Amino acid sequence: MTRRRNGFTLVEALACVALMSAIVYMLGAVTAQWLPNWRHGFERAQRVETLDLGLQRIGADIAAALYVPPSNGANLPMFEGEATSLILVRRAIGPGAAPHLEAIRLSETVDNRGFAMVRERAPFAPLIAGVAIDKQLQFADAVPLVRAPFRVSFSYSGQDRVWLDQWRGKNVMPGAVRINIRDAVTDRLLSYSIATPVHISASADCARQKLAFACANGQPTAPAADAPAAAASPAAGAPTGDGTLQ
Amino acid sequence: MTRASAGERGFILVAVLWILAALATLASVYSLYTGALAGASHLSDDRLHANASLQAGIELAAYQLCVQPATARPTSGAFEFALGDDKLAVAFRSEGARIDLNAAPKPLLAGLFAGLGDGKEKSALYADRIIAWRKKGDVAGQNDEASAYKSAGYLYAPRQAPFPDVLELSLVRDLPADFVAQVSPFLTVFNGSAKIDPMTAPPEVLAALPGVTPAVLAALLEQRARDPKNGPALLGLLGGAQGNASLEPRNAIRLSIEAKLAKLRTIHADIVILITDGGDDPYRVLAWTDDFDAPI
Repeated sequence: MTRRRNGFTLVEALACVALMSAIVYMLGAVTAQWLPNWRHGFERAQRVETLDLGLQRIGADIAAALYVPPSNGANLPMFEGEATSLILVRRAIGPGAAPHLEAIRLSETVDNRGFAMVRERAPFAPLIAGVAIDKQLQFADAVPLVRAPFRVSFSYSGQDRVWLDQWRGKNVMPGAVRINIRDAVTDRLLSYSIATPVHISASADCARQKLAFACANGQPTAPAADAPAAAASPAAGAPTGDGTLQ
Repeated sequence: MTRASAGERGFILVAVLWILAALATLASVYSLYTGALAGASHLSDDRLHANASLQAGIELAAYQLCVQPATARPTSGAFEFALGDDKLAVAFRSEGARIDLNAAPKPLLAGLFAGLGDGKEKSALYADRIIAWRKKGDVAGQNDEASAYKSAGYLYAPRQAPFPDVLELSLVRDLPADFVAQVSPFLTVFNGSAKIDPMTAPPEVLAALPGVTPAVLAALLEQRARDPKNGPALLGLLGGAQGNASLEPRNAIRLSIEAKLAKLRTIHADIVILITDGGDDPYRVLAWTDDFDAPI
């Protein structure tokens, strides 16, 4: 009588291999399903991170906008806000930048990759009244801040907290700017949208006025007794008198 | 039966390990994804945090200034406070401490530049150029100063209106490249007057007053250190330079805020507010510079 040897029979081993193959196949099928999602998850996280960096830059530029009239013919700030573009003046930033004023243009363009919100800059200098800003300032150093699948648009609000699609030709700065983020395909408003305050809420001219609060609200006022003669109210437009400030 | 069970246990162990590995991978993917999202939103939080703390510093300073009538308003001061885990130090000073770029007469501007080491002749030239920049021309773009800019190769004409910001000095012709950085700590466009406030002006500004010799400056600083609130005594020491000084309270106040934010770096801000003395808002912001994304 032969003693049965320990171990698996061929049938047991084949059954085991078959079972193992089935389980590996099932696990492989599951893995194949979540691998693309994993990749999409990373891409989505990278897109959101890039979007956030773009929004940070747009928000910082808007917050730093200065009340600087574009020319000597008007006392309105150079803040030309439209739904998909914005021109403002701020202090120049950047490594080694000499202290000077810089005009910033944020505008939507379309290239081979779709919509893009682009930031451009130009050294600021007084402009000729009545000529378009784009034709006088040479905007350069274009940097796409937000790209498809996102689209950026702006809304502007004053002290009354009413959101408008346009802010130009006003003698006060907007109190806040909303940066709307939409899906470029569906045009659906996304939850990434933010609102950023504009820090400056009065012009330098208001420091020379008797009624500073009226000046800050864009109402006509008179210069204080000790103020320079050329300091007119924002609503009054160009400086008055002989302009000799000494 | 026992041997068969041992074989199955080994087999199941492989499957379980596989499933555990798959679940661990899924969990790490999810944590990476949510971590990236959280990191992205954290950046916005930091700016929001910094702005809120700076705003608290502004409001407390504005309260200290508004709670007293304009005539009794302090021209300078400092205080510290904690807001949650943040620690803020606020120092404020009237803009009367600085020379107004739009109102100052030539001798005052030239005196400042000479005191900063620019030489007498050059200082007078720089002062002339600044006054020509802000002085209203006959016809915009068609006058001597505008012609001078054109013939010197500048692509723009002088503003011939008040400076809206001190940094516009960088556009004035004949001024050296490092001039703005050198003089801007002593200049402003928010003083509202041609005169300076001797109670708060730094020594460089006091020395710019015509007729203030090193001996007079030393006496002024000594008197101010001894009795900081005695403005009339300072005016008396100024002698002939009294015409360029005034103790009138200014509405524009400059705040220097150092905010040590919990779990964040320290933020510095230089903010000018305008006390409005009426209306809905007690103050408005005239200038705001912080080093959140760029050094100031």
